[in-house]
Amino acid sequence: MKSIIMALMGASLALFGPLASARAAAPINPQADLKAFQGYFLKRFPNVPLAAYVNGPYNFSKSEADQWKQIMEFPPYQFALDTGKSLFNAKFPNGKDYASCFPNGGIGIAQNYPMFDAKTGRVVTLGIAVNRCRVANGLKKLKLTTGPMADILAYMTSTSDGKKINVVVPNNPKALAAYQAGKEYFYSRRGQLNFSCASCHVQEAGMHLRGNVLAPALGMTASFPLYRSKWGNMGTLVRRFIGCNKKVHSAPAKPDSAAYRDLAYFLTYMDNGLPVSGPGARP
Amino acid sequence: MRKTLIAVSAMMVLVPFLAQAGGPSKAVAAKAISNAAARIKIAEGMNDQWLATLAAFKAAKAAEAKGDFALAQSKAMTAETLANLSIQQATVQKKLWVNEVVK
Repeated sequence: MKSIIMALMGASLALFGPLASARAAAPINPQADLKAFQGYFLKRFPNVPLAAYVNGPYNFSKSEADQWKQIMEFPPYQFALDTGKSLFNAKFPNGKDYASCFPNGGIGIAQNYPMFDAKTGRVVTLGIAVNRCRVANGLKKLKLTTGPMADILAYMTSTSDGKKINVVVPNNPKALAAYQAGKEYFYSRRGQLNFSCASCHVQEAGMHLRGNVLAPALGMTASFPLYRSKWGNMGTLVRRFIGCNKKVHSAPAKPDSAAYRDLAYFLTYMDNGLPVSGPGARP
Repeated sequence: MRKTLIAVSAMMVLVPFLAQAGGPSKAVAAKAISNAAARIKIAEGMNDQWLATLAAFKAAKAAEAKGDFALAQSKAMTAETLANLSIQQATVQKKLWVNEVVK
């Protein structure tokens, strides 16, 4: 057994050892990152305009795009949208409602999330803000991945439809650290398959993985929450993170973990300037 | 001839017991599980836990509960090895992730 362990350790050294020529870490500059990120995709796919990236894989497969157009005649997220609106407008037992927790009554604000909370020094996604509202009003948190939370987020996101994503990374050391942690998570290889988020959604974006087109990372957050035919129901961005982690044989983080908050922060910041297009529908 | 037969029969009866006596004890299996758990905790702290690690660890705990200490030790050692690999992956990625950044 010991020899097997030694052999495995040796194999891993052979695998990772030669990759020792890491570049020095650059200073944290979200604006420069944004320019480079969007520029990379625009240069790589010159026929896809910036705003069209919110349509994800449909830019790269005519057959999928045609199916999507047909599906959107009766959007599969419509029931979730209606339920979400009812849930959002329902009064809490104390007489208050979700609108009381958000600026502008929670209408047309989804494009500003995730945002950095200077008080707690943490990133707050819209889902976490909804749960904060619930807790502040004596209710239990909702599951962040699907179900009523996805419905509420679907409604709130629909009220921001077409508004430009405007995530802010303030000049605050903790905010910059959270942004950088999200960036590091996005580009770090993990799991037994040794894949990073970028492996599929940057390097192989627009390519096929079996029957599926790999969506580019740019524009990815704009249509969440969304209805996935594979799921058969609605799911949030966190649900997608969990699925991606599992696909590379990595144990997912907790839905409200700092890892996923920071990842959502970085990824949504990269979509700044693109229109909100949620809820969405995907294969 | 008779003495030889008795000796062979005795050996056939005793060998399985002796072999089992030489196998991992409950304490050895528990130690292997403890070692694996420690490495798994480190991997989790580095945001890089492999599903196979957790599956092997779960199998080790199940085998221990059933009293199969040899299997428990084997699965725990597999879990520890996999956890070590993921720790190594996360350690290396701390330096290498910047190479994948879009410039």
